[in-house]
Order: sequence, then structure tokens, then C-alpha cells
Amino acid sequence: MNITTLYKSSPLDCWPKAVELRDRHIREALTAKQRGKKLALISTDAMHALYAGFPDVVGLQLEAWAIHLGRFPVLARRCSEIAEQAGYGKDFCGYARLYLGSQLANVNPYGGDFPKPDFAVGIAACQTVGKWFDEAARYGDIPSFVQEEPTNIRREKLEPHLVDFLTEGFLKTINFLEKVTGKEIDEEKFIEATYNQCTSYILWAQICELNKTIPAPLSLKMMYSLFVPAHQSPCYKDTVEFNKMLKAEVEDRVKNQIAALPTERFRLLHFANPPAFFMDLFKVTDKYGAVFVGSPTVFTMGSAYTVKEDGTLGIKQHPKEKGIVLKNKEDCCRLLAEWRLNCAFFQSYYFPHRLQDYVHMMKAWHANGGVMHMDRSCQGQSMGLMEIKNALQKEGLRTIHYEGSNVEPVDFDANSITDRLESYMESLGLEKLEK
Amino acid sequence: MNIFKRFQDVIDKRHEYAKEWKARTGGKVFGYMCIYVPQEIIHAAGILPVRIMGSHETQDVAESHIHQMFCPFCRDVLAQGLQGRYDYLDGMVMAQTCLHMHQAFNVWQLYRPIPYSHFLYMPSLVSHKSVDFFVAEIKNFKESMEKHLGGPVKPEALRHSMEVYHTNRSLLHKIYELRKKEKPPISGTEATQMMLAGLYMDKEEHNKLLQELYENIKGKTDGPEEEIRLMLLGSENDDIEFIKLVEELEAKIVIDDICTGSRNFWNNTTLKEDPIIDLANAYVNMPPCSIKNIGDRPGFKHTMELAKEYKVQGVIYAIQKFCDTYQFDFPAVQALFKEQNIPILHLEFDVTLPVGQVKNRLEAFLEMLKVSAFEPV
Repeated sequence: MNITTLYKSSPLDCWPKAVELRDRHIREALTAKQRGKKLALISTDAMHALYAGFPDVVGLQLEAWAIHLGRFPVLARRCSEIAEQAGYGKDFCGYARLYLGSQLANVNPYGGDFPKPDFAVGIAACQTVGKWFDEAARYGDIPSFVQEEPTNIRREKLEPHLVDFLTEGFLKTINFLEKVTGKEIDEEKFIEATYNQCTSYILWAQICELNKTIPAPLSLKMMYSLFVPAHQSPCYKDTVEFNKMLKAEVEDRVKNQIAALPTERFRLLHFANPPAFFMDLFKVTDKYGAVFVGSPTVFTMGSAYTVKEDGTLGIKQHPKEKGIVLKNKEDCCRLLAEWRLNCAFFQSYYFPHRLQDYVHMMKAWHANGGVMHMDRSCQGQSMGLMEIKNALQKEGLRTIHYEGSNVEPVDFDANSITDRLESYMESLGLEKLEK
Repeated sequence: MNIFKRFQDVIDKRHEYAKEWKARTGGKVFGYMCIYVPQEIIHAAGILPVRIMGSHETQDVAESHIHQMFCPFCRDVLAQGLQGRYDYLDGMVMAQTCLHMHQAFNVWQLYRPIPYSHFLYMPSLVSHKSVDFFVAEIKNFKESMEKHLGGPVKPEALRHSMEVYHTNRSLLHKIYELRKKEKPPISGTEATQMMLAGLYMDKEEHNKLLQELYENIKGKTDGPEEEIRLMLLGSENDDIEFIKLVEELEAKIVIDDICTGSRNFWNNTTLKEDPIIDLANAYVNMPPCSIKNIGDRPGFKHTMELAKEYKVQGVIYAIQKFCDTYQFDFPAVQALFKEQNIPILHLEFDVTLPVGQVKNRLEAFLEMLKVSAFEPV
């Protein structure tokens, strides 16, 4: 069949800036010690504003480190083997295995030694993430602190005791940071960072909203790079500026019907984490005119989406718009606690919420089909996908699932998964547009 | 001894027991997943709390609901629900633990809705605020249950239930204390029967049997000579056949740190303070499941203390396949036991027990322990 181009398409003007900011976190972590900073092992899902109040602290984000490693299959395999020798089984959290493997084997994909953190601050969110930090600290013989983040919570009513609990957790995190750095938190910087974090998250959510448009101005593959600044470095002013610039450009693309895929005639959502070493997965369906327009994780992780009373996703209001004036660290911690507890991503660990939200997202983003990654390396993201598949089928939406790993290439058969995706396309009545 | 036969009967016919209890008393039965559910609240409403467990039978009904990379126990539990084996339940309660059990709990509600269900968030880290947190969760649970039942749980009923459970835990402590002896008066198999029956039985009936058992065995001094003393660690384990297999090989399980064993009763209420605060303190401070063993990891300290008190010579670390949290703990636990020169055997379980494979590994492990135990100094 001849290619039928339905829409205009062009690269993003802000793409070079996106790439620069996407890789900032790793650059900063790898040069932290040379710059006289302390390196903290933290989670990518941490409340980054907390650390902004300690300018001498740079975060090495464990998940991001593992994803970077995952892009180098040979190194990823080596780290995985080392982790397995140390007793961490194969069917086990992939991020943790790769991080611990790289720590034990002194692997740095960018050359030089493994960047040894000075201390670890974990969050206990999903069932294993808090434990990564305990083990990393044990091997590194460094001080550590774990702060609990309730995830399996019902959203119908935000219980005051939950807010108190999480606020106390954030304040204790600050106490720990003050102890290990020997410095008090800079409350002004913390306040500014809190506002910037909220702004970055809101802007990203607004950009995701624009992808509901047909044709989608962005593809999921692009979004996986574009969302990194808001997700990993939300407190920086230049992240805020970048997201404003990106939003303006995407609005322009919407206005002028500029598509990510000029042949778009079918829309897909991807569920769970993608394979870091095979992001071209998202291009497999291009030749059928099928574009991945998003993913629940990209939409809601590190963003401002919350769920409204009618069950649809809405975007939170900025605290300044609500007239909230942050005066001190207690105010910031309480605001961040409420923000986190109202966050769709973390609420989705309570399964009924996940079921409701994912079905809603399929409809809201006008997806015709879904591709589900039964990720053996991440039980948190794979939780409930079978049931979500059943629910989508009842709505007349067909999905396909594939088994693999988000960071371990040996557990991922690119050829057979590509074949499965192509068969899925053909089962939906789509033919290849390219000869 | 007839008491253990009674325990085994209840275990084998737990559904019939619950149905007969309902018919006899006119009461309701609530199922609970995970021992963090404050059972006293349920008991105080005149309801029989029963722990929901699998059946160790192969099944295929759960596979289209929970992917096979999640633990076999949660799929086995879900299968019980989907197959209607627990259709006599009037309610189901869960306290937050792992994603695997969440799926089982929630998918069960979708396909076999039960008239009442409640989910409590259970904090992992122990602190002043986590007790306050759980106080609020328990109050919410109590109010929700009272609303469903159409009447309050009376304070005197709650006090009575707390006394019943306090007695139960105290008796179990006393019996477990006897297992410290060089010749423990009950085997690991018998202890497992005693514990598992308690998950399904009316607590007052269980207390009577425990009291009788304690009186019968407290003075017992005979027993097999020179058997290796083992500790059982890991995920939930109701596999009596496995315990029997171990003990057929001239070893005895003298202590455990599992949720179907000692963690169920190790921490007791005080009965000296406000009941809800007392309950919150007791449950929050329980020796933690591995999912809650984070930060200072108090679970490891508790495990090592038990190993020392019970003079353990070897450890069996038996976990469900795909259990991330217990798998994650293993290297650290292994390192701790290595410092004490106590070998540890790591086993992974599925729904059914591959007797041949497991027996080979056990024999090799025990052989190694026997050689090192009886080598001259």
C-alpha cells in the first residue's frame, strides 16, 4: 500500500534543549564531587524540592541511573549478573538489580568509577523501593534514611492523618539531611523550589492534555525524553522555562495540525515502563499509521494530574493561584504532602483507582488500542494489567501484552515482540503503509 | 495427642468449621488477608475472623486475572474466591501489605463481591506518628463496620475481645517458650498445626485447647536426641507437608519468624490503655513482614534474637516464588547469619511442593549441619 500522509510533520524546535536538560541530572551527579558537593542517593520519585533547600547536595537518582545503564545492554547484563551473584534473583526489581550490580562491580556507563553516594535517602512507596536504599547503604557503608510515602490510599477523602504522617516524613527527611550535611535547610530556596516544582508539574500535565488532539502533536517516544526535566529536575527555573517553551510549541503544532506521525490513523497507549534499551519499540507501529500517544506513567508520574469527583483526570491548581503563601519549611512540607497524596500516579497503586484511571485515559486520549508490558522487572507497574485488559475488552478496546523487562535486555526478545506488535496491527485490520 | 488431631481437623475442614460456627451461633464470618488486620475489632462485633489462605491445589482460574509473574500464594488465594470456596463470608478485610495480595483482594471484590469489605492502610515505619496514623485507620474501620452492621461495637465487647486475644497470644508465648528446651515438647509440625488452626478457629475455643496443651506438655522432658535445631523464616507458610518432610530428616524446627507462626502473636496488647491506642501500638510494633522491614530494619534484630534464644543451628529461608521483598532481604539475612556461623538454606515455593527436589536439598543441607555440629572442637 502506498504511504498516505494525512498531516504535516516536523521535528520539535526545542528538541536540542530537551536533550540537554534530559541528561542534566546524570551530568550533575557525575561531577558532583569534583564540584565539592555531597552526593545523595535518592529516588527519581522523591520530592525534589526537599533537596533544593540544600544547595551543596546533588541527587543521584537510582531509577534514572538504572535506565541509563539499561541503554548499554552489555553493561546492563554485567550488572545484572553481579546482582544475581550477590543473591538478588532475576525476577526481581530491575532498577534495584542494575543499581546494586553497578555499585558492586564499580560500573559507570560514562567512564570512570561508580559515583559513590555519601548518603542515601529512600522513599518507601511501592513494595520494594524503600528496600533498595537500605541495601545500597549497607554495601556502601553510608548513612541512610527511608521515608514512607503512602500509596495504596483511597482518594475519596484525603484523610488528615495521612497528611500529618507524610508531612512528618518530609520534616524527618529534612532533619536527616541537616544532620548529614551539617547545615540547616535554606528555607527560601526550599520555598522557591516548591513553587517551581508545582509549576513544572502543571505545565507537563497541560502538555499531555494537548496530546488528546487528533493528530497527536507528540509521540510517546518523544515524550519519554520531554518529560524528563519535569520529572527529574522540576525545581530548576530553566525546567520551568523549558516547559513553557515546549507548551507553546505544542500548542502551535495543535493549531497547525502538525503531527508526530504524519500518517496517524490509529492511536495507542502503552502501559507500564518501556524497555530502556529498545525505545524503537514505539516506532514499530509507525508503518501501520499507528502512533503511541502516551502512557499512564508519562502522564501522571511527576505531574499535576489528580482525579476529580467524576472520575476524570484534572490538573491541580498552582498554590499561588489558590492564594497559598508558603512561609517556612513546615508550610512547604504540608503542601508537598497534600500534593503527593492527591497525585494520580501514587493513588493508582490502589488497584480500583488504577482500573478506573487507565480505562479513562484510553478514552480521554482517544486511544483505539493498548500495548501492555508485563514487566518482570517491575511488579508495581505491571500490577493489575490483566484485569485492566479485561476491562478494556468490555469497552471494545483491544489490547496486546508482551513479557519483558524494562532494563534487562536478556529478558526481552525484540524480534518476537516486534512480530507480536505487527500481528496485533494486522489483527486490527491495519495494513503496512510502506512497501 | 487428640488436641493436635483437633487442630488438623480444623485445618483440613476450615470451611466446614466456619459454616458450622455460623449455623451454631447465628453469627457472621469475616475473612482477612494478612495479620495486620486488627482482628479484635471484628471479634468484638460477634464475628468470627478467619485468615484467607490458599489450598495448595493447581488451578487455572486466577491466571487471566493475575499474571503468572506474581506470587503463587496470591493467585491461589484468588482462586479460592473465584471458585466460590469462601462464599459463606459476610465480609472481607485487608490491611496494606504487598501488591500481590492487593490484586487478590481487589480482583476478588470485582468478581465475587462480598457484602462488606474494607481496606486499611498500614504504615511500615514505626514512629509516634505511625501509631497515630493507625489509630485513625482502626477508628475508620470500626465505624465502617458498625455502619454496615447497623449498630455500634460496644466498649465492653471490645475489652472482652482484647482480653481473649491477649490470652491467646500469652498462651502461644508460653508454649513457644517451651520449645527453647533441648528436647522441645512439641515438634515443628505440631506447632504449625497449633498456629494454623488458630487462624481459622473461634479464639475462645483455641484458647481452651492451648491451655490444655500447655498443661499437658509443660513438664515433658522426653524427646528425640541430637536433632538439628532449625529456624524457619520467610513468607507465609502453611505447608505442613513441608514441615513434616524436614522433621522426618532428623531435624526439628524449634522456632519460626513467619506470619503464619510467631509473628502472629509475638507482640501483645497491654490491656492498660485506651483499646484503640493499645491495638495500634501492638500491631504497628509487630515484628515486621519484609515489606515493612525498612529503614532501621527492626525485623533483622528480632530474627537474630530469636535465633540466639532458641539456639538455632541452621535456618531454612522458604519464600514464595516472585516474592520481591523476602528475596530482597535474603542477602542481608544471609550475611547476618554468616557472622554467627549459622548456615542458611534458601528455598522457593510454588503452590504445590516438589517433594523430591526439596528433599534432596534438605538432606544435603542437614548433612552439612550434622557434620559441622558434631565435629570435635
